[in-house]
Amino acid sequence: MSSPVASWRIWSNPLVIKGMRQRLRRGTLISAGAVTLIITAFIFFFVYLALTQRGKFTAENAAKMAFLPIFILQCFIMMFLGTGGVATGITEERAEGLLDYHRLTPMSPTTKIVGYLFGLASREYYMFSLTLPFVAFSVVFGGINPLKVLQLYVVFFSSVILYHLAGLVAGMVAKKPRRASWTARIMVITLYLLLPMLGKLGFAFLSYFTVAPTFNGLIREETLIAGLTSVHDLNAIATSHLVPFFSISISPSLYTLLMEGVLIATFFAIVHRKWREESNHAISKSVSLMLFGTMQFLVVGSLWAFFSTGKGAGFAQINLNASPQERVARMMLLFYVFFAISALTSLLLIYIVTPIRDTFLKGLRRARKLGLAGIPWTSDAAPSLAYAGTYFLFTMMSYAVLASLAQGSQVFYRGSVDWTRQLYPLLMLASTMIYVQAVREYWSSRAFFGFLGIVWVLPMMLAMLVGIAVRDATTPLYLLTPTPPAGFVYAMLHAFEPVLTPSDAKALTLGGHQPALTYVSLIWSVGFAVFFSTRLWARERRDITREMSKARLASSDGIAAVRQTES
Amino acid sequence: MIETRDLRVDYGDVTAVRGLNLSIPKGEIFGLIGPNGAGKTSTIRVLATLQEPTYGDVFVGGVDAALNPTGVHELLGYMPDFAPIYDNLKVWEFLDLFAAAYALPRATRKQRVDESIQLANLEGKRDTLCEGLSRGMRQRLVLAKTLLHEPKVLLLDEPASGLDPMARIELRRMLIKLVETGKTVLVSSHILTELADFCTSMGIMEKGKMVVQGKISEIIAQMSGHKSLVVEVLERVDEAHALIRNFNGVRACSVEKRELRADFDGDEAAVAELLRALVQQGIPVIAFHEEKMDVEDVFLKVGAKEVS
Repeated sequence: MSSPVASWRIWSNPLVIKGMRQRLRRGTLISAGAVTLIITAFIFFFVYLALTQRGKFTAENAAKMAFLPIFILQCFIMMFLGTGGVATGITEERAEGLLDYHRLTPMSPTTKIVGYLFGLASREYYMFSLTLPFVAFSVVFGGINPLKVLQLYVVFFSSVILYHLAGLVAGMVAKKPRRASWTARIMVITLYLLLPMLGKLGFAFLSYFTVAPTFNGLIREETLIAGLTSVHDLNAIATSHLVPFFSISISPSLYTLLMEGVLIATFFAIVHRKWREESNHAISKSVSLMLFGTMQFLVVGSLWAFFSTGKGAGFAQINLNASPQERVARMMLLFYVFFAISALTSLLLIYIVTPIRDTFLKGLRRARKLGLAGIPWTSDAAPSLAYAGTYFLFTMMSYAVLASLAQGSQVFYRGSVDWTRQLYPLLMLASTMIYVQAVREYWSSRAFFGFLGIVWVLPMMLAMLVGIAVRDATTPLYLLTPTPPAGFVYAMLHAFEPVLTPSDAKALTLGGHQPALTYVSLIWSVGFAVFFSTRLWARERRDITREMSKARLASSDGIAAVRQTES
Repeated sequence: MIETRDLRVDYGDVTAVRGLNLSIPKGEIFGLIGPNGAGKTSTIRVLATLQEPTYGDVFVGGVDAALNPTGVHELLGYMPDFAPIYDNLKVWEFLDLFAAAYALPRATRKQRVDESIQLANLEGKRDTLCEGLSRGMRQRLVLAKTLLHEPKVLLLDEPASGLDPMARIELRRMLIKLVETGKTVLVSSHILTELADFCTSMGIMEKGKMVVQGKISEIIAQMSGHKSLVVEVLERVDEAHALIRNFNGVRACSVEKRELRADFDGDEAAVAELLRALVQQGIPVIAFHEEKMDVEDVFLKVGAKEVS
């Protein structure tokens, strides 16, 4: 046997060749090619002819304006069709057991991932290539700066790789094949729509998982035509030139490449891990720490400018004429979103890295067999409480940095905040993380989500019903206390109450109930944390005692057997 | 060549494999027999490094599967139960994919693919899409794929399951050819007759435990304990029955028409002595032989004890 194909030799990767044989047979080559050419030509000539013949535009301007629709078509081909193709392909192979064949071949996991990444999307790459002559025409005759176009396509391919990897992750992680395509779609919608929406709140890094900021920053300006520029165009260009990050500004394309690079590395690590062993957690415990740390670094970097000067991006900036009430409200809102993002990320990571009971028991048995004192901390089978604690420490540090910046800047309020009150939202976060971790480890997935539904969603529904039925505003507020999203609001209001002006305080102290609401919310979450952690601890003690007594029994049996043999 | 030590595989509260100690020497054709759910597939998947055991050691060709799974992959050929194939690849493309994946030199790859097609008896289907193959052809194709990189050890999980009788015969022929090449083979089945013909040793699994294992002849000897003699006489059945029943070493003797069956503890010399006694008495013996216990009998005997 010769040495297996290196991962960078894409053209001779057996899985790429397999993908091309599967997805680019003569029939497909002709039909997919014809459809692509017809649609691309139609779009291009529709725009070009409509502008030159009807709109009285010059040929140069018409060619320039045809760039955007062709680029959107390319995005559709590569990101929508390509991601679907990758997710479906890998899911089918996994469900049928074909992946097992490849697990046993001597190619490296990286070569296999690269092979699937490009092989499963080979048809889309072919279709994409057929649109390039139209792009070339648009660039050459439209006089668009080719260097900027090149830069755009570098980011475009980075996005394509990211989305296709998302498809691979979905296919490798989803327990049931049918869920994989849904998981892939949800991941794409999250990356393309939900995160950019959060990005507008000031978390700049969340907007840079798509090619849009680069397009707006580089190409939109190039394709503008005098007299046809809308306010929307100008806004898009203005907000995409430079990205504030800590005290510096970064170009949108570089920032996108950095952000996508972080996510590509994460997705790659997930797929790589799943290649090695199907039953592994998607993310190892140590990678989860790195990931959460990176996320916190990005959050602080994005909000740095806002909390230190009041200037930032999107929603995270304050008008010089803003009233004191508006300043405090915006600061509190951003702190709230900061907590929400940190909590959601940490809860997601806790869900991923926490072992279910079977995994824990398996780890115990293995540890017993190997004569270890316990399960190694970084093992998938190890309890994740320490990791939940570390995520909390990261969040607390970020919060401390941001709160110090806010206090020091004197932009949002004058004077100082009582620091003991700042502990309320932190305590809320810590107790929520602890009980989610305990519940996840204690129960199966179904019971876990059932519990969250009852404790988080049901009170919201009840509060809404009571709010409509009874004209009392206080009861629904108390009904909401078990749900952490409400608990955070109460804790935040309680934390910043001293800096509110008397008129704001009246509106924001929830009719004077805000301290009581904070305490009740904390009682719920701390109560859950104590209850479930204690139960989990007791069960784990029992499991450990049982497994260790088995170990003692086994070793004493062994000694007895040896003695019998000797006698 | 294949060795497991105290292997255990758990799925939650269910233990699929419990303390399995297996040792298969080089060149052995080991039949792993057991009903569905006995733990055969879990064992094979662990041996193939496709699944981590709860604990226990696995060695293939002396290579520790936990420490060097890649080293094990080089030695292994694995064929799963209901082996899947790429429906939209042609037969030669399917084999070529794995020939390339196993890094067979480009110069000899085509030749190796052609040899494999020949081995699978699929010459006429070389350019056919795999979706057009029958179940038997698919199994043979996967077996050919498994042999592409000339592995020293073959793990075949229920290779004949779901095949019609003709396809089974063809597959068996292919397996017998393999046996002649001197490879170490572990083949599982819940159908005993599939394996009895060509296995040199076997193990019977039941509820995750290996109930019995070893060379087939040794197992039979171990399980039989005593001989079963069949005597057929032309006439004077009662006299023959009385003589046999009172012969030293005979535990019991039953009669059915002209056939007598005796449970006999004696050795081969005693068997000859019994025949001589019958002849000396002038009893017209028309048949006299020892009924050999076969693998199926062993399975039934063990199974009857273990299956709840």
